[in-house]
Amino acid sequence: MRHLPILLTVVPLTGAFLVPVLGRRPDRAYRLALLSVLLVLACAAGLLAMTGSGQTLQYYVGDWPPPWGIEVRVDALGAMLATFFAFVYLMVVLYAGSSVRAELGPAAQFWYWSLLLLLLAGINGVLTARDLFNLFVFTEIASLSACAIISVRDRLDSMEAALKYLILSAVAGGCILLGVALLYMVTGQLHLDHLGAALPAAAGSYPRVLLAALALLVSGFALKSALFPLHVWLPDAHSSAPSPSSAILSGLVVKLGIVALVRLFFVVFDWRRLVTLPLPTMVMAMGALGIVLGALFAMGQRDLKRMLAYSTVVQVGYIYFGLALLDEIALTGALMHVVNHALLKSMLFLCVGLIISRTGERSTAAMAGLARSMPLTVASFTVGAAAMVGIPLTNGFVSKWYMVLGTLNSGRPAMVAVILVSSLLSALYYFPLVVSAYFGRPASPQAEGPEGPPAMVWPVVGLAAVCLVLGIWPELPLRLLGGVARVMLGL
Amino acid sequence: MGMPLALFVRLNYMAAITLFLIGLHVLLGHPNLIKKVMGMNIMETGVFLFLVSIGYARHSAAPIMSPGGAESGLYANPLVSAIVLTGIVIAVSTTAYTLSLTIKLYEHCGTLDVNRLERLRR
Repeated sequence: MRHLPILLTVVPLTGAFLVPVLGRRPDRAYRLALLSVLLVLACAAGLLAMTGSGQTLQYYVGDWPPPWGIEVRVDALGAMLATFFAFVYLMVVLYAGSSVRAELGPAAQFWYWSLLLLLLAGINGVLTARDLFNLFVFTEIASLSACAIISVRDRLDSMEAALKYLILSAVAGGCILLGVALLYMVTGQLHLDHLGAALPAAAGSYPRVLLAALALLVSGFALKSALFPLHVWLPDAHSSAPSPSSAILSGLVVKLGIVALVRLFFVVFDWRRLVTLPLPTMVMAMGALGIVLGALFAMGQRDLKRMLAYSTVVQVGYIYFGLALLDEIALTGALMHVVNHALLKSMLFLCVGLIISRTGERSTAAMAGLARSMPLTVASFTVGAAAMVGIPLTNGFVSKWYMVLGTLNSGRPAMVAVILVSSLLSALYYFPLVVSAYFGRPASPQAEGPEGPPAMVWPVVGLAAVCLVLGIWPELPLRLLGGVARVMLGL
Repeated sequence: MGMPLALFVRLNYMAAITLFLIGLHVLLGHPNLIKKVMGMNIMETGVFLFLVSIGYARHSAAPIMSPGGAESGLYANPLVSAIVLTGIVIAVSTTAYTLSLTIKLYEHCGTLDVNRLERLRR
């Protein structure tokens, strides 16, 4: 039990290396991947149970205490994100078990499973890292394997998108490492808590070095998480990957930069005191721009996956917006939105994957009249669309409601308009699809028979069910995240 | 300390930042994919030079404790070297992967120029 925090990273890492060794046969590789993800989910759920009442679990790798050794720490935020992310992963792996056979050749299949597990190791590493350099290393592991699961499809557009993503994430990686180096130069620390303690003194002697480090780290992580003006790589990358990969990239990988920045802002830089720039205002402005302009871009898309990808830009904008308000309620809402968007966007991408594999089309017109032949998929898509717009009884409503309350609470009533306008815009691009799916006339005669392999349909339904459950009974996660928000704001 | 001497002492820091900027410029601005990979490596080398420079003090010895100890009593910081090693591993894997993608793209389209790749896609 003591080793659970490190197992979260070690299990998928071991799986990633075992798959190419033992799992040359595709079905065996799939079973190994499934087993690893199940183990990770069990570890994460155990950690969530242990951190549920607000305590944190510290683990010293090799029993070396922090100034010299590496610390891995699981707090309520890390445990909760790890649990939900592992759940999404499980659903995606179940779904991909059937779909990669159709999308990838037999040779690429076991690499796909291996890369998927490597990516999970990177994700969990970022969630549990308590050390700035470790944060950087795991971010790089996650980015590299994320690029690889885009380019696993031997097609021109996938490889171009992967290359674009790779180049920009190399820029981000370089900036982050230089930022880490600058911080280490002025403080001699890498552990987040020790850095936070050493920075006030360093801020007095080297204010400009600190400012440069902050700029490099913020732009690096914002680029990795596609904050508005830095989102250019996202639509290509997320829309040209195989559908299960898009689900993970859009739902989980984008969140890593956000988690890293949350740690930086609230543990290291304490951006109410140390930061002399109006950084919260800047982040809020970029978030608000992302919310509105991302929605406008999404409305212009005729390709289902590109539309969902632009919608991710919007939702990332929401999360940053909620963070930058520096208000307890808004922060709770923003962290809740990290979870909600992970569930929702992966579910929507899997829905679209089902629609593409059934109709062979990726355009928005393919949705017309699908409700008769694909009732479960369209019903799940409807739940997702309602949650993205923020209809009550869905989880999207809960997080948006908290952000609206937080905006009012922090005394910026004018900013509520941003959230309302964007919800309206989301309705404008999601609801026509739902309406045409139920009432539209199908463009081509539809095939009879089941809507897809059960292993692909049920994960989608499972994710949609969790979205509804979190929308109807949000008290437990909100209480946990509220506690996290209070700790982060030092209340 | 006069101005020229101060510049000389900080030479490696300035070189590191210059390398970083050159690399960044090439990585983002040059249309040729191979040159982009070179830029990526130059940028990372800049960061590594910076890190190693942090760990070194004038007249410091290698961080190995021996009975006599260092004459100056100063040792170089070994942690930054460990960080640089990890960084090099990441840089090498990124480079290898980018180059293999570049080869694939070249096989598909017969060009290394990103602008021409954009045009081919339309």
